Amino acid sequence: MGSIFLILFLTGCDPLNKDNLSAISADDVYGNSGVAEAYVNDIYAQFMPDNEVWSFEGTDTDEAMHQRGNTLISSYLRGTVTSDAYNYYPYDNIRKINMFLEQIDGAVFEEGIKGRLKGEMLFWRAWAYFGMTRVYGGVPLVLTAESPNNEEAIFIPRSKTSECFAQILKDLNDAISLLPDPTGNGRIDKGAAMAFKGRVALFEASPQFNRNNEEQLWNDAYVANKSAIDYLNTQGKGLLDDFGKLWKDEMNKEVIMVRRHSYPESTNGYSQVCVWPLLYAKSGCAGGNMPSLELVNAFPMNDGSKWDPEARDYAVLHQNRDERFYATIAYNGANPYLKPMFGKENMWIYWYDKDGDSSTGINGREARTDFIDLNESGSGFYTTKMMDTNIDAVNILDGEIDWIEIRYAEVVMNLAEAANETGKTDEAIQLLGQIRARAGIEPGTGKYGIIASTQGEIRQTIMDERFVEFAFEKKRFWDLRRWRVYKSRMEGLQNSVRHGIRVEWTGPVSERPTGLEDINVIWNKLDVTPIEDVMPINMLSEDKYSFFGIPATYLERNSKLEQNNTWGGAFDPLE
Amino acid sequence: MKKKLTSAGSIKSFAYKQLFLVMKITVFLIVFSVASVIANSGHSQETKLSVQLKDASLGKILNYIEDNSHYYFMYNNELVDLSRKVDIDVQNKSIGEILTVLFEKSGINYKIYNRQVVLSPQSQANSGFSFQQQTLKVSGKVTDPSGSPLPGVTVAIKNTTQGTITDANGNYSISNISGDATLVFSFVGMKTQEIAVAGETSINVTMTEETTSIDEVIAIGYGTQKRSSVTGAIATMEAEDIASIPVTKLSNALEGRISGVFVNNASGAPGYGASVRVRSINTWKNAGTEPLYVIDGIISTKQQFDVLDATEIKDVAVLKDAASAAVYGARGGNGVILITTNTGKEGKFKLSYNYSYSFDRPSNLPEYLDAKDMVSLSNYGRELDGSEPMYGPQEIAYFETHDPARAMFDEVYRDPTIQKHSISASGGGGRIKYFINGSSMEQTAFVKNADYKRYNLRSNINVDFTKNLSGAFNISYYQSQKDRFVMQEDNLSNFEVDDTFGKFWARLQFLQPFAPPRTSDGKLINPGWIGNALGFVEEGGMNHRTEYNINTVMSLTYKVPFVNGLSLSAKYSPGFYAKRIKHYEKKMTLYDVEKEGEHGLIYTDRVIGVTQSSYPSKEGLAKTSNINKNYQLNFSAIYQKTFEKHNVEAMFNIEATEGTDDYFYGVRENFPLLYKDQFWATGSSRADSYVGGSEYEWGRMSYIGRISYDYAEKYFLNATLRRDGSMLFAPDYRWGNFPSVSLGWVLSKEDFLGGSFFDFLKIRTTWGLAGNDAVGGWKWTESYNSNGTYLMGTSSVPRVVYGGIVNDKLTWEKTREFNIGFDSRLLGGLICNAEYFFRHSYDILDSRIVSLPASFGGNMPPVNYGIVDGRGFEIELGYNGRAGEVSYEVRGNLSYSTNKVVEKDIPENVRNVNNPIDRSTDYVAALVSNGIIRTQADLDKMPGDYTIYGLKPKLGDIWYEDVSGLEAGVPDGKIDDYDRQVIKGKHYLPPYTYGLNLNGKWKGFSVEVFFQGIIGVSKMWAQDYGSRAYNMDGRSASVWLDSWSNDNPNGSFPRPAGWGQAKNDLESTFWLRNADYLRLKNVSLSYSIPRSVINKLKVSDITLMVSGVNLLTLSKFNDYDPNVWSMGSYPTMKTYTLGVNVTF
Repeated sequence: MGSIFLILFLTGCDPLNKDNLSAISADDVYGNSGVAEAYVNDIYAQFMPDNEVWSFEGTDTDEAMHQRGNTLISSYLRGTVTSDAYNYYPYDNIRKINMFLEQIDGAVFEEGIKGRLKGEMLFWRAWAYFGMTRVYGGVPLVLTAESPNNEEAIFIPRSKTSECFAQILKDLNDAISLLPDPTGNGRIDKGAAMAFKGRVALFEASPQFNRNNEEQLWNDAYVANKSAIDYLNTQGKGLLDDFGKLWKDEMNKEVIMVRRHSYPESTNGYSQVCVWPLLYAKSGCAGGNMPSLELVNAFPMNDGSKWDPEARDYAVLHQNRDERFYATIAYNGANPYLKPMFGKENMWIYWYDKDGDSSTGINGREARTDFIDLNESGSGFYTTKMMDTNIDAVNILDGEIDWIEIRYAEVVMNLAEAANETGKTDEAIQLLGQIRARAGIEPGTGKYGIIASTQGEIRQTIMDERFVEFAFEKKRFWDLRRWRVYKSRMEGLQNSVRHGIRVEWTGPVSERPTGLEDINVIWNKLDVTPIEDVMPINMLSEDKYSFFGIPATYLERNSKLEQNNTWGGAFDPLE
Repeated sequence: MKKKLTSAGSIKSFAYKQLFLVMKITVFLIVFSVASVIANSGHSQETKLSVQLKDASLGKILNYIEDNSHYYFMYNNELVDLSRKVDIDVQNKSIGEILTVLFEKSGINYKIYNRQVVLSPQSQANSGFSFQQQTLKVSGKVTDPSGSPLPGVTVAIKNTTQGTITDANGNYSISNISGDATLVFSFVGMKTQEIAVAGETSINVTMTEETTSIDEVIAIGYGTQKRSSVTGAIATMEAEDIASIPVTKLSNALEGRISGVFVNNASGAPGYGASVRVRSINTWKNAGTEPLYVIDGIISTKQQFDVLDATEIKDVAVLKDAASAAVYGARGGNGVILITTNTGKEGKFKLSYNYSYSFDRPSNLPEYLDAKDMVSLSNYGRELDGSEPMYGPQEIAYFETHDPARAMFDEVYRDPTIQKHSISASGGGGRIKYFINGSSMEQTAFVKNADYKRYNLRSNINVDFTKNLSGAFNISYYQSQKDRFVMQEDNLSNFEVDDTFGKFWARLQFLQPFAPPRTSDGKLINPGWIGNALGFVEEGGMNHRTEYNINTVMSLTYKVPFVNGLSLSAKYSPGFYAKRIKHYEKKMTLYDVEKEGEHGLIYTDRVIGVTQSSYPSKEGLAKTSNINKNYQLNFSAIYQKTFEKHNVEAMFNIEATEGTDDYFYGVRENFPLLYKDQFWATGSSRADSYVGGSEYEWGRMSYIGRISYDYAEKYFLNATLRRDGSMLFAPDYRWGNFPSVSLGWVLSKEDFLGGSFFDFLKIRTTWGLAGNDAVGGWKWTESYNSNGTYLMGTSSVPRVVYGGIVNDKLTWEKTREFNIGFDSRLLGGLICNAEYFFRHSYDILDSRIVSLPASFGGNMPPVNYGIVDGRGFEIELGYNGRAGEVSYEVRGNLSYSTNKVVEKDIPENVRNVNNPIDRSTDYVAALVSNGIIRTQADLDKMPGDYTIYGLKPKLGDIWYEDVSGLEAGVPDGKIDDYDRQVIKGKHYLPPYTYGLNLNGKWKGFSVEVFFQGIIGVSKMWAQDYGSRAYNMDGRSASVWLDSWSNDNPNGSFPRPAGWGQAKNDLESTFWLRNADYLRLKNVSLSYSIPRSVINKLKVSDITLMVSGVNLLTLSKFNDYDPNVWSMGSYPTMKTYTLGVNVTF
């Protein structure tokens, strides 16, 4: 028997000769355009932004109210933020891009595909460096996949902020020349690259980086955004007529850069779960994206005038607002906006039993939620924006709403801002008018209610317009930093806290509004009073926010890396 | 009686060894022994033999008889002359007849005791020694541990040739001896006892079994050795030592038993297997510290080791030093645990049945606040934080008398039990020996719907085909099943639920302090996002994990007839392992009830709504299949030769192993019609289904050689070399050599130590090299891997990701170890063994990424570069003694190990506290606390801008030492990571572990008391979910009652601050506790019913057993069990067991 094994053994295969069953080789990647594209696709997955609930861009600004009952606000607003707090250092993906850019020229497939993929990768490298530069200022510019042994090339100091911007813009220019026209297939195209370049240029020109208000930078921003919008117009892009359909008519003409969602391939379920009122979500997760009263108040009336909290009753805050208000804010009595509500009931978020007599029910119970979780809306509002109206509680994870990272309106607003800063006041107002017209605001004298006329007034009008136009689109935090008004805006809120409202039913319990009852009929039986977040906002100096500290873990690993001067180091991010 | 004394070498040396080593008698005395009590009369003397030899020496004839029968001969070769040549020709005669012929007129007497034939010179027998009883002077009775008389025990007068043996009733008498003489009682397999006569005329003796005998044959890897010949650091444990401990995983039983083996029983969950390490840790990495497990020569997994039942194994040997482990080459670097299973013994059929039933009780349950304390503490904490009280007056009043959530625990709790059955049949006769064992085990958790079951079957068959050809055919099978409810905290990877129940215990105690589990009519209450724990247990679905494993061994050994001492063998061991998981998760129906109180915290019985639980977010059914096929193939040659006093053994072995692993899973979601844990009940849409899987294959080749040499069993030299090839590494780097050399010197055999108090003394030293290749595969070859998909436009497109920079020079980690030790036995019974080791682990594989800037961006491959030095010692002491009819044994062991990182990648700019170099791998770094800020005066001492991670301190917060800021060593008035310090002399892993075993026997009773403990270990106090923060919204541990408050400024805990309101929960010396403990690990009492009683029942033995495990723990750390991670961990269990063992 032993000899049988021996024979088997001697004639059989070598036990050490094995195949790696889970991998492919470099030759596969650069010898096959499909595989090379798959390599690029991975970079999309790494960098393409997505929907998030409680993204700090919202919860750490005046856009969203804090979750009720939770006394804690984040370190940004408490002034306890440290130099380790912000961590964005995607050099792993930058290296993957650099490797690709170094090898793609030698690939054996069609030049056209090579050029397109190269353009996409250059775009993403610019994306990554912009992501870091807007946070920390200049960072080490790594443009080649260096060998780990080449210490001189890898132990490098931070580049100047201006050098980083120059590189980002160079990569984008190269990308723009390589990328094809938009085809709506979800890939980065020339339009997306030009629009993003406009965004980059606007940041570079903004007070965060441009403390001396150098006009050349604003001019660059103007040109970048102007050429973007001109190009996009030739490609049939433009503002969608109905603001409310932006996230319903997928891949509409306003979409420039997008992360798509579709069940079952890729869903944005989590965000859907946590932004629905508990009653409908039945999830336990709630409290994401709850509009603050500050945001609600920022929506103009449909005649373009401002909402005046002194002059108007909050009980009718829903009357005569612009279309964006209804497409963004779920208020007490709002029309059904989620599948479980259609044909059944409006959005009822009032509280009842104001008398405190528990024999008639629970004192101060919100009509829509399970009190015990303290997960009812902290502000008295939910959001209707980006809600999937085709899903129910059972398939709430299957939401299919796309995340639109850049839409045409952003290019318009970027251009308007650059126009205003370069003295093209009329053009700025005209562009703002486009946005407001689409929002259903009456043209009035043709200015859609804009009363601003000086550069400063228009600047404020643009800020206010961005606030409502891009609510919950992860822009507010960056805008406040960019304008260097984060501290002043947040601490300048009344009593230095964010606000919500408490809507209380004053009528008998038996007559509590339910179903599809019209809020406009019963509004006067509701008491609406502003409520405050518990913990006051108390921030560090604006400089600490303009450039965050480089986390210590990165400083440890490279002695050439200097901390920002606003965080005790020697690096000047304004250079 | 436990050893098979075969005649492997020449009969001469065999006889010599027997005399010297078994009996340890240095006098000229003819020895008579009886082999076995059990097989007392069992061996038939009627076996017929034929012997036909011409002009052969008596010795050669006896040799022939030994080879062709079951008999072997014992004699003193200085008294019995076997050189005489005779002719013999007998056909089909009994042994007695043959021997009568053979020794006719030879002057030699023979006596047959079962399988032993004892030869003596007639002259001696007539003068000094006789089977006839002589005139009485001293007499007595010799019994075995169960109290039965022991016939055939040699009773000799020390330093004379006088002596006798006991008769069939165990009685002896001996005359003509002086009052100060010493009697030596000896018997094969029993401990030799020396008893001073001291004028006594009646001396009764109970012989005890030899358990730590230096004659034990122990496994050393690819062979066995007598303990007296061993030169490496090898510790052993007999299976019977742990037979009375009702563990469900074998590793749990090792704790404290074997010196140099560190076992951590961190959970009492059913089917939980403790982590095991041998000596010091060789690496700073979390992985790759487990020893190698080898079962009957087959390299196995820890799982396969863990599931072994104590009744199917014979012993466990641990190869601790690298020299011993070097025969396992690239995988021996963390030590090797060798398991030998039982084999059949020649002789009477033996059937043994074992049953035990155990009651478990959670040991050291952490205490939690009562509702009323929880309410007042929470409100007080909120007051300190400056926020509104959580409980209003109505609620305070309610919780004064109600504690509704306690019912959660009561409802899920059940008394856990363990039941074990095992049945073994063994025996042998003719050409076949067999051992067959079947066992079953069932364990339940202290929570409903969580069980572990296991069935084992083993059949070990040894066959002698011909005189020279023998084979072994072993099959072992096990099937184990873990069933457990599914819950929110399960971190499902590959659908496996957490073995230790994750944080379920914490959930029961901690999270739902005011929500009762159900209404009075039994409806599950919806407590919100947190979920209803009782609901998970009863209605949330189940996870079933079943493992199947078959291992077979087929081996043939051929003694080459024309080369004396050479044998060849081939061994083929295919194995098959399958794991299947069925994971069924569903939502449960929960009821909303009306809540009362100012904040709605009082749950009423009035149902106002019904809802489905939010967890699981997707209902569904998943099945997985994991199939692993492998084989190990060995060819070996062993050559043994003895000339004069030189003994040489050489071994050469070729080993090849290959395996494949195939993983597959399928999931279907949603239950459109009804709930049933079947695929047909799940959603039939394609969108509801997904599948996945992976495969890999592996292979290894090895060549192993060993040469052992000794001179007169006095001087020993061992050398081994293994050459290993592993496909984990690139072709040019996959072959490596692992040498070892070791020396031993038995000093007690030297004349200069003759007559000293050492009965036995051996010093030994080793040097060896072993490796560790547990590094994952394919790091040496450039690769790109699939990485899921991305939705581009309207379709999912594939993603490919770079596998990372490769290192084609990758090879295994290595450990070089020097070991010196001694084994001794002195003063007639004291055993003292000790080891010291120094190990140097180098070429440790790790990515050197931290020494590169993060902006480098690459994933650095592992590189062989790191160095960790380890050292330590182990001491074993044992003493066997007796007092009257009580025999007792004391055994203790103490192990110490420590290590130090010599080379490890560090960031260029590393902060001292983060620098591992020159520190042990488990060094403690934390903030240093100066206690609690108790008074305003304390607070005023703080610098004006003193902050703790950005927060201003308040009264009752922990006061941290400010030592540094961004600029090293300069206090900056801010407490942050820069202020963390190395806490010198503290360890997170115990440097010292010890065990103390006391056992005694009296007649049929035997008792064992076993203590185990650790010294020098620190633990970061952690409550539920590993946090140290007071839980404002939940139920905290009772210790918080003594937290700082204005009324209790001397409280021992910080103020009860809300989440994020204070930084008292950071790792700091405030929470660092001494976690040393001494544990009464096992107490067992067994009683063997006297033979006189059971003989009537036609059984040979009935033993009743009662035992208790983890009965008592002495520790300063007493908020929860010091073994488990945190207060919220599944507690360890106290186990009380009743058992019975019946042997037929």
